[in-house]
Amino acid sequence: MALNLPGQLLVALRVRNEKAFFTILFEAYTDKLKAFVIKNFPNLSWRHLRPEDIVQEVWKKVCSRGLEQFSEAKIPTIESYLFTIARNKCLNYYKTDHPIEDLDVVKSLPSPENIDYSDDKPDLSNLLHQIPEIQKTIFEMTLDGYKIKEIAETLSMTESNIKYHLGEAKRKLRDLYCRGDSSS
Amino acid sequence: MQITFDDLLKYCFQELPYEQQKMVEHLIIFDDNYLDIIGGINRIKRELGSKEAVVRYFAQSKENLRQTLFEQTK
Repeated sequence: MALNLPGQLLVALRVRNEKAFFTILFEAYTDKLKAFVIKNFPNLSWRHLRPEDIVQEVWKKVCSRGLEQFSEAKIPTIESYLFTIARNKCLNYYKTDHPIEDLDVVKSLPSPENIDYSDDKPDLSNLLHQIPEIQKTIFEMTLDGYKIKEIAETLSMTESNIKYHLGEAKRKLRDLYCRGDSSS
Repeated sequence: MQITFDDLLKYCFQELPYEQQKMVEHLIIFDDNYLDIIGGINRIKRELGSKEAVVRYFAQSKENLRQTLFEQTK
């Protein structure tokens, strides 16, 4: 829990130790990337692909670009960078039989260091009780790893309806969280 | 403070201390990637059942991937 990933990466970056840099990244993100792929693309196997194959593609991409691509400024966005590569790889496999080069998009996410985890913030179960029942159900099923299509079939709703309610659930949860509202 | 994969696993098996649980829930609410990661772990949990089996699954696949990468770079 005390792992300071950005700090460790910076040290490896400064001494130009590519192997150490990659090993730290590999250990920190391989499992996360795999879980991400399993959740978002559970049907990849129909193209004879396994989640490991996508994760491997991500690491190959990182290795092929070398340490030079990572400036100090990019260290905080490495996580979103890796997930973006994984998502693009999966989408490419879905779209065509031959993956195209993925987009080099780095989107910024809030840095964990800047997040307020103080005790006055409500927990998720409290917040879920404050949104409409259908949105609560859809959010909980998403958290349980069900795909949009599976949720739609279970609840006898259209996929676009599920997406709408999931989006609304996220928006309301974020609003409630920011207001620190734990009342039921 | 960095949330590790072990922390996320513990969250899925309700083994995380309250403070860290709230950190993970913050990430779930504000970062779709974490919502997807937790969903991925829970999906495997549903298929395999025990925490030991889930841990073994991810450990084994990571080892396989590491071997493959090393072989490819020889």
